[in-house]
Amino acid sequence: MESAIRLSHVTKTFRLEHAQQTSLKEAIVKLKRRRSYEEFRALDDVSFDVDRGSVLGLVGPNGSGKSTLLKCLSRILTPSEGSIEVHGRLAALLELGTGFHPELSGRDNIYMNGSILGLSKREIDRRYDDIVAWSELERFIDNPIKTYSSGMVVRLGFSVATTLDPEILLVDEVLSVGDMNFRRKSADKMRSLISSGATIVIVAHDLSAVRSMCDTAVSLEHGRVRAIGDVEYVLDDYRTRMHELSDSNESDLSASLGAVKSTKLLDLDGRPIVAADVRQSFRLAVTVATDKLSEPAVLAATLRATDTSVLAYVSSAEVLVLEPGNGDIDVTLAVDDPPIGDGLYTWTLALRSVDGRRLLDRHDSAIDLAIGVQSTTATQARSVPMVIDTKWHHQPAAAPRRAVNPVSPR
Amino acid sequence: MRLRELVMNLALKQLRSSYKNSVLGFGWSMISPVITIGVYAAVFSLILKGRAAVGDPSGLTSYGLFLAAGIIPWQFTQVAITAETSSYVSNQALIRKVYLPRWVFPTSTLIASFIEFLIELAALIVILGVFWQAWAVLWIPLLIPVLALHFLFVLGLGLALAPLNALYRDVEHVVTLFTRLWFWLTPIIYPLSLIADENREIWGIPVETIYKLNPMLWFILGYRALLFDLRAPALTDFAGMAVSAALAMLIGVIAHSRLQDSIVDRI
Repeated sequence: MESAIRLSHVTKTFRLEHAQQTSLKEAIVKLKRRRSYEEFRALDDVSFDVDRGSVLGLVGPNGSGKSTLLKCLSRILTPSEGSIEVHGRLAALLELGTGFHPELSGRDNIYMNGSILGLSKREIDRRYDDIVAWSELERFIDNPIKTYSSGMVVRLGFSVATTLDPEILLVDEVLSVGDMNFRRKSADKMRSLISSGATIVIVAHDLSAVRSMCDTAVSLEHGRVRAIGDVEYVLDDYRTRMHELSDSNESDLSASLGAVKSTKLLDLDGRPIVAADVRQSFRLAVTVATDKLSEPAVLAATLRATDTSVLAYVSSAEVLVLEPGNGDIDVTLAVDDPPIGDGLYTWTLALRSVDGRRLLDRHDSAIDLAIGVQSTTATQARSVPMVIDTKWHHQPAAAPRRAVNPVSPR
Repeated sequence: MRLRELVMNLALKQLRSSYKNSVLGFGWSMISPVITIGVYAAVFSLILKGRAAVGDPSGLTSYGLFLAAGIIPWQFTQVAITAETSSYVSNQALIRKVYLPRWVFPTSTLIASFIEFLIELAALIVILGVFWQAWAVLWIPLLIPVLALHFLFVLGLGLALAPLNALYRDVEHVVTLFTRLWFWLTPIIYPLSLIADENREIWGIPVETIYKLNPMLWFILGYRALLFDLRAPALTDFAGMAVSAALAMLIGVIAHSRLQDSIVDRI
């Protein structure tokens, strides 16, 4: 098939200055001394083709080079080595509302933003009514943008950007903002772009979105291509890789001061897992060495998204108090039918004094949890896969209890 | 085609946002030169009793008009160069998120200043025509090549300075200081004859010759011929302007194309 984008041996190096040198004086002084910097390869010999009309997902852990690659594709960054060929009119959505000016009205900003994204005034004139209608901002369009809520700004930005009908579209996670209604509408819009035959490259942490929209995927690790090909294959490989990584991270916690000896994520049958399907129940198994406790303690677990926002906090205070000197105790926290959407999460475990005020021991990111990353064939029908509700509606069924070794499900 | 619209939109956005929420709006762009001219006119003609140059052949003796013909183009030069120099830094949010040809930023900044300059010039010509010499307007067509060369001259400097400033923020400070010095070394508030008549020398070189190495001299002479003497600029003036513009553009285009790839990495 004809390729829309062809990358050959693309390498992007950044200089990590040991002391950031941005003044002329320092530059002149440094001319004499040996320059002190190390090179950081954000992209390392990346080569692949994107076929015309295909929808490619770009996945990888944070810092793997996804955004750098997207910026190179959109010509914002110039590769240090290698070349990128792009065939067709390209538009990049790295941020919604790029170049919006807060003092100017919505109307002025539509024209401004449109021309930044490459539309002529006549083209914007033609689409103006659609843009306003889609963003649902008819009443506010002549007010300055600074009076808009952030949701309104995002709607306007997306509305302008998607009227571009580009031949090649690069998208960087912009879809995962806004409320339910917006996300549903934006997902529909993306789908209609896809069906119109555009070539699309999507960077996303939201793996269910990648799976539902993309036909091929590339996974990056440390700036190198790790896997490439069919989306199921790549996501499967990505999940396995994350499994490996979390295995190697399985730390011997007792070495680090505390009473929390080991932590595990288990499925209902007591088998260790690193990933769960949406709404699949799971268990957190924690072994506490009570001999190391200096006072009675309660166990607290915090669920965070990868952006470190706290989604839930559970404490055993009402249910279970760990007394010192009882040997190793396995504690299991059952989480049933968690209303968590696809994504990567991490549990932080802590031992607190009974009144909850003093922290006795704490393990950040003790357990990593991937939800919906498993790429087994669509077991659950997702009506609108782009809509992921990450709101925590209520505390999960949290029942920490004294468990006898080995951990057994209820 | 699309880029032309984009550049104009960016320039208009800059103009509109800088006068938004102000009662006088564009009026501020008039007030600044009027005050500057007023201050210099007061200091030099009243206190220092400076020589009032006589416009030849216009016969104009007003020191205020003499100043206006030099200060309005000078202020454009200074404001535009300063704004161009910081144009990459002040647009960094945009540059990091969307690809636009880099030159769009200094160019649109320059156009915003240029539009203000044209409005000021128009006001000056109206005043000249109504209150002094109606035939001043006859020279307007010759203003166009002067404006075009002046525009290219400032564009060339901006294309070189803007990426440099993205790499080393010192550049904008140097530019601010240098333009202050440059102002006094250019015959703006005094006539060139003040220098030429003295026949002074530095290291055996006549000061007048050194003055002629200053590219701004030729533009000021050009504007003053058209707006104060009310005659066509001398051919040597045009030659000076053309050489200045060509050199500035040459340096600007070369420097810019060499530096533009490292702009995003460094801002």
